[in-house]
Amino acid sequence: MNNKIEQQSRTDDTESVDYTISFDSVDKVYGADTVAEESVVALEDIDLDVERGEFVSVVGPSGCGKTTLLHMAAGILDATDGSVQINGVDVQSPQHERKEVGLVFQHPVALEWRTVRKNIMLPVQILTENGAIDKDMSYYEDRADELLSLVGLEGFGDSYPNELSGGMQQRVTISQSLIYNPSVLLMDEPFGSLDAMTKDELNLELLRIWRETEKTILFITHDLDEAVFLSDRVVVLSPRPGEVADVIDIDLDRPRDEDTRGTTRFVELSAELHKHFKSLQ
Amino acid sequence: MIGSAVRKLGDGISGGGRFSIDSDRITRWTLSAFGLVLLIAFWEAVTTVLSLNPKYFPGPMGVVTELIRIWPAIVAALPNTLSAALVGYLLALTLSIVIAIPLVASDRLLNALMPFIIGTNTVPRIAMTPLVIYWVSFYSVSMLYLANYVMAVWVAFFPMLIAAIDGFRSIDEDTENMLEVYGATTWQEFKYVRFKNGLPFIFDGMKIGFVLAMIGAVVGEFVSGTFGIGSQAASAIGRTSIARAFAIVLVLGLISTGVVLIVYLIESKMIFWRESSIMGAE
Amino acid sequence: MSALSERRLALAKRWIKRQFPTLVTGILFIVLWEGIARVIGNNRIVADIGYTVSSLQARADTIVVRVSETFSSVVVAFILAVALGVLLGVIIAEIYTLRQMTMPLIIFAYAVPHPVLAPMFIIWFLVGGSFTLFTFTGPSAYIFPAMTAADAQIAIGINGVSTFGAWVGFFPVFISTITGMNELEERYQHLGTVLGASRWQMVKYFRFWRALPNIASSIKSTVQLSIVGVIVAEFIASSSGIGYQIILAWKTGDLGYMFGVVLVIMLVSYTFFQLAVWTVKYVTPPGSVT
Repeated sequence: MNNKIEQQSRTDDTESVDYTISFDSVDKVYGADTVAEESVVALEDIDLDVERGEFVSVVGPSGCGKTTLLHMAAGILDATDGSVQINGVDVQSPQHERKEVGLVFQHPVALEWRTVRKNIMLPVQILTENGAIDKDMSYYEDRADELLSLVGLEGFGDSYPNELSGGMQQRVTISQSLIYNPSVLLMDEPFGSLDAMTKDELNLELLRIWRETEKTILFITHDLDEAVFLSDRVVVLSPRPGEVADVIDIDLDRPRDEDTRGTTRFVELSAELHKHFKSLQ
Repeated sequence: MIGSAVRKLGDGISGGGRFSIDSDRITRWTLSAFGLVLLIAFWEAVTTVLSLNPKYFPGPMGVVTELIRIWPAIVAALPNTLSAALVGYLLALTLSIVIAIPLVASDRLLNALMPFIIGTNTVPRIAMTPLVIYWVSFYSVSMLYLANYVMAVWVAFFPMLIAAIDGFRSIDEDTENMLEVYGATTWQEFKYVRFKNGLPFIFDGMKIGFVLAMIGAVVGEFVSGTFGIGSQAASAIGRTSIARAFAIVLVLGLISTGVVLIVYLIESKMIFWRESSIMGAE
Repeated sequence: MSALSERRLALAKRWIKRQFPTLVTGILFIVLWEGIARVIGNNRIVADIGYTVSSLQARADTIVVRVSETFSSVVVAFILAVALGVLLGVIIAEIYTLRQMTMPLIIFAYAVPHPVLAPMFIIWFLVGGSFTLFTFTGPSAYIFPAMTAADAQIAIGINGVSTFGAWVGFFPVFISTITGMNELEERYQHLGTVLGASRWQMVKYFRFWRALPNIASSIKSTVQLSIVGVIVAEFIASSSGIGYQIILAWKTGDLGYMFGVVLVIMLVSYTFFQLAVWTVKYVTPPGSVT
């Protein structure tokens, strides 16, 4: 983990810790601007900072505003109050760089009429047309090939999404979010609709990809064991209104593998998280 | 709204066979052909055995004889009706897509106009036929046939517009969010997602749209009496000649079926990522 | 204020909010109509609202009688269409061989522009005569004191006009019955097999109910098409009904009356449509109609 140490020392140099994702007393109220509908407080006073290269998971009961939190970081939703910053820039400001953020959804968003390779290239096309990235197309085409092998889809570049299994489609979506090399990856229960075996497999692969690409990852899940297995820190949200109820440091050794889930420390941490979770209800 | 009424007939009708897959297609075709032959034989037999009055209950032979007899008249009348239907159809199709784009691009515009579009689609637009003919005849009596073109557009346009709007709008929330994250412009949304995504809907609209354009043109001819297949069909009432009416139905039905099949074949070729059905939305 | 009335108020607010665009559209339509009429300033090209209303008032009794006639035919057509559509749909969906044998016929009948078939219906009933199921005194007798009960009488019957309306409206119901019945999820099929359900029981307990939402939503199209069928048949065949009144107005060049009649048809059709959809919503399980 040489890289991590280097980054750590660099942040020390600049004195202030540079947070890649930063929520500063963020509130989100739905329906605040309409008259007839009742307003709902989805999130209240969220303070959350994610360091460069950190893997942070957010867990919470359904309806606690996990997805809302993620969508605000992605710039899809506007915070009612407070500010959300990526690399020190407000996501709603024009200075915000879209190429810094990748988003992976619960369901694959592969377009049915595009081949796997073309689906992976879609963000590049849009971002290039809008002048948000300026590298050659051939650079990204090579990168698409690399990504295909990184996520284990060699030889499927010319297949159509309908020809792939759900797990493979999700790999396509992950490649799609990595193609333009964003520094931040936002993931919304990306493995939630997969079977347990595929999920474990993709968990391991995600850790490998994270290690190799050094992304900062904000990961939403309702699977507590998954959160413990993957993360550096786990944030527990309370329901209605969503507030940060707890932050748990996961001090498991890295790199983690199949055996990690069997260690005493994993079981302890998992049990602790379950206990926290139970106390919320 | 109407688009959801009848969607995948292909699913319902071609699926669920109890035959092995390789012989399935042959079996189906054989059955269809056999059914057709059986129907015609039964029809002929009933009219012969019961010795029904051929004027009111003609057998298939009677219809064919009448068709041959009036064939020259049909050939003379057909171009008028078909050009009204076809031109009206293509015009309505183009308009429906061109108008659907700004409506889908702007929520505000869509919200403002949707009640009007749905309302107009709900009422029997065909009831306007005499009014349209009146206006056209006011403009120029010698160009009365223009009313048939107008009716073809007027009847076919709204269902196709709704199909196009439904189609362009039918993208799921995740895809919409994805486009937002990449900062896609409205035009890029259409270019990369909405056009392709809307195609199945538009094709469904095109299938029913042609039949509707034909209906508009034919009813226009019914009422105005301009020379065409519609007025020929109406004249069958005066002669109380079922054979004649039937012969005309046969000709027009085959043409319509042909066009619907062509649209279906183009659809199956273009939309490789999902299965198409012969009968679109009604 | 109690919680309940607060909730009611919120619901009412939402209803008003939802109806608002329709209302605005209606007002806009009226303003636009009158505006255009004023600009053109010729009641023979575009009748203005005043002229239209006075033309309508002058013959209000005829219109009410004719509209009642037309919509009695529509009701008969609609009921026939739904009943036959579901019945034949169930049969065709159940019997695979029959479905394949009638396939070309079904596609042909779907694609043929219905109006060319209208003459056949009309000739047959012209020759064979039509059946009157029952007659009753129409609403016009109560609205207009001067009108005798005999003049206001409405016949509910099976004739060329109503059967043609039924034919036109039949297809959506027929096809969605077939589609819906064949969309039954495999697990129910397996459940039926485990329980040893007979074919009829499968239809009665599963397949028909699976098709119900499809049928319910197709009824929207059927309402519209039954009205279209009846009006088209009245155009070319009968001397009765509101369809014939438009033709009459056209032949006499009475634009005010023509405008009025078209407007009345549109309004009554829209109301009839909403009423039918509401009824279907009421009698089917929740969620069947969207």
